[in-house]
Amino acid sequence: MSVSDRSSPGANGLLRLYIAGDAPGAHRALANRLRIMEELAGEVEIQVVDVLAHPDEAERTGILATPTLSDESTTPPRRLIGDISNIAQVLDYFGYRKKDSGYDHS
Amino acid sequence: MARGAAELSEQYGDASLTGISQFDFRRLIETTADGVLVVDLSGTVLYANPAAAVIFGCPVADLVHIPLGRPIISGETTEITVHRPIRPPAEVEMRTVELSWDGRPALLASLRDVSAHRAQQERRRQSQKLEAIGRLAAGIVHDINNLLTVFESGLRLLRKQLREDPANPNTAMLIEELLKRTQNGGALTQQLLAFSRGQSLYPETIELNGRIKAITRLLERTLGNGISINLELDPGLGPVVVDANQLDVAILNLAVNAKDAMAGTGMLAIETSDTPGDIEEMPALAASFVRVTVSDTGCGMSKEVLAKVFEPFFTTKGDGRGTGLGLSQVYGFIKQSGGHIRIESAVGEGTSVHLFLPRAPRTGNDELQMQVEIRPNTCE
Ligand SMILES: Nc1ncnc2c1ncn2[C@@H]1O[C@H](COP(=O)(O)OP(=O)(O)O)[C@@H](O)[C@H]1O
Ligand SMILES: [Mg+2]
Repeated sequence: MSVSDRSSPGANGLLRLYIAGDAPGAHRALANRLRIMEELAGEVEIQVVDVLAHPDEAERTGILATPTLSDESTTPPRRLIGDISNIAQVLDYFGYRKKDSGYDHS
Repeated sequence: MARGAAELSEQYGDASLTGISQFDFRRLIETTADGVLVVDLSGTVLYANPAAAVIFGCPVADLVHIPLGRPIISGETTEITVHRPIRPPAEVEMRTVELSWDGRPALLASLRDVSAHRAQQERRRQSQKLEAIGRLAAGIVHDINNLLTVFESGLRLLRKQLREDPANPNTAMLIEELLKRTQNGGALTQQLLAFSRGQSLYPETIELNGRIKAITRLLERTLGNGISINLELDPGLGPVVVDANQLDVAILNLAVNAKDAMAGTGMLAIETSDTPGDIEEMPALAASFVRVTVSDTGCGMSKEVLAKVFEPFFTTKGDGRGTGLGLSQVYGFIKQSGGHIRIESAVGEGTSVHLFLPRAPRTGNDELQMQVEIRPNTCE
């Protein structure tokens, strides 16, 4: 049950952010999406999916709660639910490392 | 699955809980009104209590083992939306702590369904809106009565002309004039209807200038002849995120106050600015907010009155003319939107109310912007 067992961190570079329309949490999540992409200086692309506009998509991918940030390159997908403003926690979970900080993550 | 192997990590341990037996503790978790989920570090559900099953709208057995995702750990509650089959989504407050489950690190998320609470707030907002509509309707009834007077005298004149000199070109002109007035009346009632029907429960991305122009068309007919309206809309104004209908109500409440303060003659000005820093000295302000200012040339307020204006039911208007709910709605709306409000006023010198409204986040993704805008109204 190791969290950091990702073989090549950030190799895929694509995450999906599931939000629910104009819910209060959605706006925060969108702002944080930009912060994360900035933090990683283009190493990651985060696609946005509004589950109210695309309910079938949420059903297909098994999204039960939003906001959810999801890495679907793994099975089962690696997902974080809730407020993603703690960027360090987010990056760590998905196995990305911050640009320009020499911080090493094992 | 060995249930009850859970214990909160020591740092969260509470000495006063040591007296409770494992059995009682388990029963407590099973019966508590809050949803409880235990999730392993990879996001798979290990345990769900019955309340969690209610929130997710499916049996406990369906929740266990699903790869739900890892709940964010933070000191505060975070707000999530839970999507479930058949029923509408639930607004849920989530709080997550670390614990150990079967000797392995795991997470315990407690979930509180706040949808009912939100719905109640919404009903309160709705009744504030009805109150504003009542005021508006009273103004419109007055206008319609004026219009009827115009029709009555016009028709009398027409009858006289037709009797005396049917070929007089004035007759045709009079008919045209009266026809125009019927359009006024129609627009008046149309706008009132549109306003009372429209409802939105959530903040949305809106173009403020357009919204203000639409309200102004309505105000022109409500404020009376002696009051002129001056619009100064910044063409560079960025989009904002607010509840559109509450915004309408707020602007109307401010306009009605301005009308009351001006006793029939004066000027109402509505101004928007993309650079709100020109008013507030905070330089950071411009990055997050735009400004709307509603000013009047009315009686103004003393410091004592100004100190109380946001209190619900505070009014200086006697004999049932005031309810004291106007500015408290405006205040509630602004706070709920995450904005700011500032009032400048002095006795005899008019009043300016500045609203600072939060900008829409720059998504860098136009497609998303579209999605947010075209989402249909969600209502109960
Ligand atoms: N534009 C204004 N000019 C002067 N006084 C105002 C203005 N707006 C509000 N006030 C004062 O604030 C009080 C509270 O306003 P409000 O909450 O809208 O309630 P109401 O209009 O029903 O009295 C008013 O009674 C009035 O004394
Ligand atoms: Mg009022």
